[in-house]
Amino acid sequence: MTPHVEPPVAKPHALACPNCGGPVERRGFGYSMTVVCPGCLTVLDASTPLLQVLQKIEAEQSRRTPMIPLGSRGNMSGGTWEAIGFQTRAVVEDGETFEWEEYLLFNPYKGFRYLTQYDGHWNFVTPLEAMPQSPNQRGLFPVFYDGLVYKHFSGGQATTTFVLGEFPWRVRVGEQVVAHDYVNPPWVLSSEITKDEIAWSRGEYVPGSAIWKAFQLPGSAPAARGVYLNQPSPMGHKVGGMWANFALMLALLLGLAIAFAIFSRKETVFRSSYAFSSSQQGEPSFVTGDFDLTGRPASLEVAVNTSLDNNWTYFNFALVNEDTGQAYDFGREVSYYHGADSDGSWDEGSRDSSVLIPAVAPGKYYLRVEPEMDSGALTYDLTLRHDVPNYTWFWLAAGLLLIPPVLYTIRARSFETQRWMNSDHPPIRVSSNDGDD
Amino acid sequence: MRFPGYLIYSMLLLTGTTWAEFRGWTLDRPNQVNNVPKTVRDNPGAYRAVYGFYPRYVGGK
Repeated sequence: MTPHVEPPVAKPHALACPNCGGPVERRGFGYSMTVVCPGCLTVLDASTPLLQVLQKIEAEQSRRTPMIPLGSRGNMSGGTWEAIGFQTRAVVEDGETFEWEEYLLFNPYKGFRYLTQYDGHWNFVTPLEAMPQSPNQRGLFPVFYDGLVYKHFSGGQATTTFVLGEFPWRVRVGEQVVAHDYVNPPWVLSSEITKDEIAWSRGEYVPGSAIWKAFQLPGSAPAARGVYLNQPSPMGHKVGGMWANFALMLALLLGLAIAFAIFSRKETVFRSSYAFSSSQQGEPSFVTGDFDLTGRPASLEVAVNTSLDNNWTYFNFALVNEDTGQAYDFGREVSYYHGADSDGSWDEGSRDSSVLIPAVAPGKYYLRVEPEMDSGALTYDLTLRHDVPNYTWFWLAAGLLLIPPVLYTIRARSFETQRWMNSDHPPIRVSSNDGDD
Repeated sequence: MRFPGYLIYSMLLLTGTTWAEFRGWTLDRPNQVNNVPKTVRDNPGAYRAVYGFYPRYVGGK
């Protein structure tokens, strides 16, 4: 049996800091241009064995402690990466300082990568060798890279505020670049412009928990706060799918409505014409002849078509089951007025009206009718149809089907609004007027 | 189906709609009166309707 042999682990090369004499470790396999003494934070030239001082930090910087200790190794994005450098950078906007962390990762076969962290949001950043198309130094237009469009998010002057470890460039505290970010979640393209060059990189949003797992860090990642510029929306790409499902369900509902429209019997069980006058003597109420309702319990439509003209009438109805003595009591106002005034011609109401009586059981029925009106006369037709579809249910169901996709869309829009409120192009302008005038 | 919750919700709605439609239910509920006397057929004026199903309104501009 062949014994398992662990691959060799590269040991850091230790030198002495020319400023404080403390040990300075080098892990960058000779690629590092700058190394920072962890004891006195002096920035040293790592390109020669002499470790010349590049920058002495006179006043003690407010020392930051990296969440990923330098020298830690983690497996992510298809490689093993060692954290060899750490810096913080900041932009000042409207008097407010926004500071983020950058970890320099090194793999001797793959080169350098970065991890950035702001408010618990992490990005794994890869320097780009190819330039995005249509890059614009003013940073106001979208850029194109690898088939994706990236919208400009923000730009500003970033200043290095703290450095520790090794860097493949001559890092200095106070170093300034003009940085622009372009987003297409979960990606972000960043440009850093100095007087000599433009460097582009692409970051991919990584949950903090994945960083903690990759580097086997103790505890758990700090909770992310707010919405980050390239944080994937939890429902962003699902909104279209939700609406597609809504369309499918609406089609099913429409199919059901059509099926009921076709297969409902809509059987006319009674039809007759009558006349009524307010001046007629005697009892106005009367009962119709018997009619039979057959089949399953179904709705019964009672429709009245009148000859009203600038008048109203009220019908008291009672649908009485001849056999059981059970009755449905209901009434219907019918009014129709029209005329002309200074606004032109107008009309109001209708000569026709109908009532849908629910779930009327089969049996022998008659209808008691009692018309009322103040003055005038009318003729009217009564039509009773059994098993008539009630489309109210379909409208109600369509409205209820609509609620989840609408809420989904609102949540997705709200997420995007939160994202872009932090950009140079906020969708809603917030006035800074504090009312002190 | 990427939205099983919505699928279940939709199916419940469609089933409910089908059932309500099949049973002939409506949102309106007319008053129901039991034991209407047989004499109503011969004397419809003796029947007193129970109002309340629809409000009465006299229109006109």
